[in-house]
Amino acid sequence: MQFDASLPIYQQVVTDIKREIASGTVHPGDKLPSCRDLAVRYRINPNTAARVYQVLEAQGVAETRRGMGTYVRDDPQLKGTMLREMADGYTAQYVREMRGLGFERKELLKILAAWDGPEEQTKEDTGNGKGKTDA
Amino acid sequence: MRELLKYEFRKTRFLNLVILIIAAAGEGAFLLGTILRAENVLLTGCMILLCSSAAGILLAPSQSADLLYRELNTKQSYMLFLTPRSPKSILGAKILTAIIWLIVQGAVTGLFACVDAGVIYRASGSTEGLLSALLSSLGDSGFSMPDLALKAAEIIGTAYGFVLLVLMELYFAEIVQSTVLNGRKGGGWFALLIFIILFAAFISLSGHVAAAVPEALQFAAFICMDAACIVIFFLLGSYLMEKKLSV
Amino acid sequence: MLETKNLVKKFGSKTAVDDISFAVEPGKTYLLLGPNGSGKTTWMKIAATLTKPTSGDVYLDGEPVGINSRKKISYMPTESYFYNWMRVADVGTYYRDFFEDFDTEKFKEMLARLDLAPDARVRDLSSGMNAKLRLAASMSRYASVYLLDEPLNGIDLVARDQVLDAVIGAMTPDAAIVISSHLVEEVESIASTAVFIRHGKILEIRDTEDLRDQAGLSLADRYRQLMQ
Repeated sequence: MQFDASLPIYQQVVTDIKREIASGTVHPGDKLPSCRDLAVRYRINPNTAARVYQVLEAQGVAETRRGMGTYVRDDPQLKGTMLREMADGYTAQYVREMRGLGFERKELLKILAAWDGPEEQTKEDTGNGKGKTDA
Repeated sequence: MRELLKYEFRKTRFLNLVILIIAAAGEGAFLLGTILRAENVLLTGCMILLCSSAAGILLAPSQSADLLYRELNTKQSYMLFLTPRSPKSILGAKILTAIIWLIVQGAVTGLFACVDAGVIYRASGSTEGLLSALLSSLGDSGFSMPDLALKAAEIIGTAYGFVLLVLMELYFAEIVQSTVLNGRKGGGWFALLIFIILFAAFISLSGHVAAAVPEALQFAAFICMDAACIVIFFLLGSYLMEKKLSV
Repeated sequence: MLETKNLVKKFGSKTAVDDISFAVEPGKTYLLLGPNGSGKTTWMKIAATLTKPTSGDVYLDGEPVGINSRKKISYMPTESYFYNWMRVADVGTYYRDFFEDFDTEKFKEMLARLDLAPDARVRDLSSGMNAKLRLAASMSRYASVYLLDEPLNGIDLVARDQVLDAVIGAMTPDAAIVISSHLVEEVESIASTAVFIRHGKILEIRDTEDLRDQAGLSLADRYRQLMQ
């Protein structure tokens, strides 16, 4: 995974895992990789991997079962919660960026409604490409 | 120590094996000459044997000294100095390897000499004739076999002791150059200079000893001096390597 | 734990290491960052007992470093140093002969992943392949301290991932890893602590995640700030 230079790496991995839950790639109750496997998969320090799971646990997304590993919390509502959290994050980002350009919030609704562009990410996207490449 | 010896042999085996093979070829030529009664083949064989003996005494220790020089002054040093082995072991393995090769060379040469003596004896028909032929060519007369054998052993012992001392002095010179003199440029020349000084010192010391000691004890005195110097240079050299060597 | 105290190394009039005091703790991965000639390699060589310091001390687990420390310290030099007559497999045999903690199976595995033929001659290896061999040899040991000097140097892009994976594989709570590298961005994610060095002095020691958390800076950003 290509990491954004300005955000802590552990945060970016946390977001990536939440995204996987939100999109249904990972289901509530699924076993998450061990710290070492997570470190290898994302090419991060195992201490960072441990921190990722600490944060996920603190936020009620994951739970560590002694002797067995870390699991996604088995809550049917979790996917919905993650979806909302991801959506809020993207929306906040969008609004921030657009306001930064000078758009008023009420204009944004009209822009979105009229949006006719492709839904798949293409080469023409001028976004920062923050951590979107698959790990 | 065993591992160090394993690799010291591996590093020096090519030259030594070549010398042994050439000696064997010389011996083969000698025997062939005897069988075919072809004197030039026989004499060629003798020459080859003599040359390979000389090579064994000269080239092999030179290679050993050159090897140490490279291992002290190039990145090859990492191979030895990353390992958990003391300088005493490292240097000890090197000198031990040199000793063993000298013994092997000597034993093979000795074996060939015995075979050749036996062959000459059978060819000439009598021990007396063989002996007197040898004795007259050596310029001596009236010596008995045991005396001759002793003299031969002394000569060989002296030669070996001397070669080993020279080698140890070379090692020491190289160590001094790469530690105390910080491996400066032109270091090879420095090492040579140190060696020459040590060598000259030893020769003059030998001279004094030879003058002071009665002839019967000369050989023993020489060997003792030799051994003492080897030990002194070995200990000093290892000490310098341990305390001052940066690679 | 490896500790260097008031380490100074001078080469003639040039001071390569200028009073460095710095401890390497187990379970952490350190990144030594600094311009060429800043003293990174010299520091590592002193820690690896290859070079004697002009003054100062190095301790491993409380004892001054010496010949026995080499059993616990695995150093990967930047230069090629294997005997020319060796084949790749011979390097493994050599390490197995001298280091009790060397894992021959692991070595073979690494050779396969890095695409190194065991019967290739060392003298025929390109500099990149030699680098891979050096890495495979040093990382197949179970050492307390790994000192890797420019482990990604000369290594192609795809193999770099293998290298980083191998380094991550060696990260245990008992081992400390110190990496010196110019490829800051590539190594950043696996390091826990960055040590910035210039002119033989430590400028700063920073936890990599804290740097991002508190200052919003990556190691590359901070490096540019400090070194320009």
